[in-house]
Amino acid sequence: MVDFRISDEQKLIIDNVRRLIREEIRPLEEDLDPDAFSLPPSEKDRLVSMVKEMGLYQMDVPTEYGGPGIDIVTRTLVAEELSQHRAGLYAPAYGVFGHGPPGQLYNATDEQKEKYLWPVIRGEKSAFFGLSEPSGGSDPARAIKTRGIKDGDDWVINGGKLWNSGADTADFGIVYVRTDPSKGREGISAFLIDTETPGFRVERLVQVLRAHYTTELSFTDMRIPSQNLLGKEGGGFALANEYLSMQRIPYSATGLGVAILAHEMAMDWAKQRETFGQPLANRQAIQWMLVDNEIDIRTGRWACLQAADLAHRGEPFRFESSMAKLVATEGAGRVVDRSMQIFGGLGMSKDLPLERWYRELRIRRIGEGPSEVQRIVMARDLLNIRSGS
Amino acid sequence: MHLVVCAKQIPDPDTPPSAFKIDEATNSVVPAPGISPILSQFDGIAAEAALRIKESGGEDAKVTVISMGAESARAAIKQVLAMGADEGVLLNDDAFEGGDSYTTAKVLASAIRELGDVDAVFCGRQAADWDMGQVGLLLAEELGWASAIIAKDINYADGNVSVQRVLTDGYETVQMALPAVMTVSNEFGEPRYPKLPQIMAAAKKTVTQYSASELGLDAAEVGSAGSRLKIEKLFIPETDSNVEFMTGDTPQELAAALVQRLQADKLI
Ligand SMILES: Cc1cc2nc3c(=O)[nH]c(=O)nc-3n(C[C@H](O)[C@H](O)[C@H](O)COP(=O)(O)OP(=O)(O)OC[C@H]3O[C@@H](n4cnc5c(N)ncnc54)[C@H](O)[C@@H]3O)c2cc1C
Ligand SMILES: Cc1cc2nc3c(=O)[nH]c(=O)nc-3n(C[C@H](O)[C@H](O)[C@H](O)COP(=O)(O)OP(=O)(O)OC[C@H]3O[C@@H](n4cnc5c(N)ncnc54)[C@H](O)[C@@H]3O)c2cc1C
Repeated sequence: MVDFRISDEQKLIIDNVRRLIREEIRPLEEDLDPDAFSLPPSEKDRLVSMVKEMGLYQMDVPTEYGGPGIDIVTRTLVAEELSQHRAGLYAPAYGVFGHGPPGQLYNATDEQKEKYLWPVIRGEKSAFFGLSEPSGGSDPARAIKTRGIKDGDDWVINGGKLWNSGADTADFGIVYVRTDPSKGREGISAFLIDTETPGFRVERLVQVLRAHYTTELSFTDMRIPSQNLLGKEGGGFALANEYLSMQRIPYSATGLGVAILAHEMAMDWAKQRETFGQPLANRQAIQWMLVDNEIDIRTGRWACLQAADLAHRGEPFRFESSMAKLVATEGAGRVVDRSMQIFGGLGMSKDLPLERWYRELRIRRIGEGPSEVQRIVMARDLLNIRSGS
Repeated sequence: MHLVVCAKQIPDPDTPPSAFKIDEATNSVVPAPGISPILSQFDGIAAEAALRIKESGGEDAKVTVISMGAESARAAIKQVLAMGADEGVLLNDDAFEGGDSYTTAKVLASAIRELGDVDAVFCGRQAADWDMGQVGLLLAEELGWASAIIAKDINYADGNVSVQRVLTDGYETVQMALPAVMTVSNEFGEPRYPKLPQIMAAAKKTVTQYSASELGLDAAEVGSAGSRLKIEKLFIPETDSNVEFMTGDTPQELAAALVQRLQADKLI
């Protein structure tokens, strides 16, 4: 049986999130720069306390690490609500619900968890993710040139990374390094690297379509102790666990949130705005845009919920989560684009959040696995082709 | 101490006007497809008022939430249970359907008598669908209890409540000995966010269901049969707006033109 009905409990959780976004986040946002990606610290602290009081802080963290134990289907539905404000795509609720640690950290040793995982969960430290390099991000197993050479008990790392979001403010990063050039995938290891390590340098801030820039990093004779190897030597890409793969599903659903809001705005506007003696909503050209919006939103939601449902049942969901990412992201992009068209000139202005979502959704088709790479993953599953190459 | 919250489930007032429909043949509102009904906002505030008294300590207090409505009203009950109420009561019977404020008060009063030991009842100042604002007062009348409506602040001490009421031109504070009925206004403050552990616990709390006969009520005295209010006609009013600009070279001329215009339409 297929049943996407929401339980009363899910609804109460979602209602809490929705209410906080509407009553707290959106009013604060009115006084912020249209491209703002953080709240004034006093407001953030106040809202974090409220969320903690509600019991919804660090929803994405598993219960054994102190998370509230909210299942993946509910988290997917919540993600759809969290992004329903101007900064919602890349800063859902401005982080007041907590920033979950990078999933790879759940594979860390107890010692590493003490130093890196727990401080992130407590909100004391932040991490960046260092996989992509100028040589490429879609196929990192081949592209990674950053080199680590064992020297006694240390690793000496040279090279650099590109596109690392938040590396300029982070305390540490998970950095993928080639430790054995004679091997492909199995020659890549992951390291926990403190940003204060001598030889670590933020070369420049890389401006992108969204307001929150990324960074370019260089590593020069950086000495990293062996204890900071995350997982096994040569096991960088084997750092996989269910949290890591599940997290893509709510991530995909954040795109749906802004699409839903853009669509609501466009519907309202189409009913009010008159041209040539009639409301826009009476024109078939506009009606079809609105129907297509609805179709994209529903298709994206079903794709996300199906992936979440499989993950929740403990069944394989790799194909479905790639499909969710692709369908929800590309669909959301189209929804925002159509909504802007319906708003005419106003759709282009920074008085409305549409133009920000438009820019940011464009990035979403590249970040966290471009659409083509999602198709590669799905093709492997569909055709039963070997993976890992 | 036993406190009761009366909670009504209503169509979501945020329903877009385009989705809001009425059936003129039966003079009733057609539920909008895909839009879940919600707890009337003022009832959430009434729950907040009861819970604050419960938590203000002193005596052991229990909060029971009562809703008369369809099976779907269990969601409204659960919401108040998730806020921290202890038990729920659903008053569900085909015979209750199509009633008015009077029959609603009658049914609620029977349930409150059935509970037996109730000290105070909290209602919303009005239900956010029909905005009648009568059930609280009629309920006090049925029970023969004291009442204070449109409260912005309620304090309990030693069997008495002091209620600050909102008036059109200010506030007044009244003292009542319990048992009593209060209706709570939005000036009281925001209802709390249900906490996750409470949300999860709500499913396990008892919700008792009563029918008309279990409350000793005759089907002829409740619902549409007992209703004293007859809706003659229910319709969505046509609204039309027009903008007219006054002309004139000086503010004085503009004001004079405006006054003439308003007088012509007998608006002043
Ligand atoms: C704003 C932003 C933030 C980012 N944050 C981070 C971060 O924090 N950490 C991090 O490590 N990376 C980050 N990235 C990098 C991102 O993950 C990469 O940009 C992405 O993986 C694509 O890699 P690439 O840019 O090198 O493109 P390439 O790998 O060079 O690919 C170029 C294009 O070709 C397509 N393509 C590649 N291979 C195939 C194929 N076999 N068949 C068909 N098409 C193919 C790709 O889909 C892509 O569209 C970020 C990127 C952006 C834009
Ligand atoms: C950056 C920028 C610079 C501009 N500069 C100038 C300027 O210098 N001077 C100036 O006068 N204006 C300027 N404009 C305004 C621009 O010409 C208008 O935005 C444009 O004509 C659309 O009008 P509108 O925004 O009022 O949209 P509306 O007329 O409200 O239309 C909204 C949407 O509905 C569609 N639509 C309208 N009628 C129908 C119909 N019958 N059937 C189907 N679809 C319909 C439209 O195509 C549009 O997508 C500028 C706009 C921008 C964004």
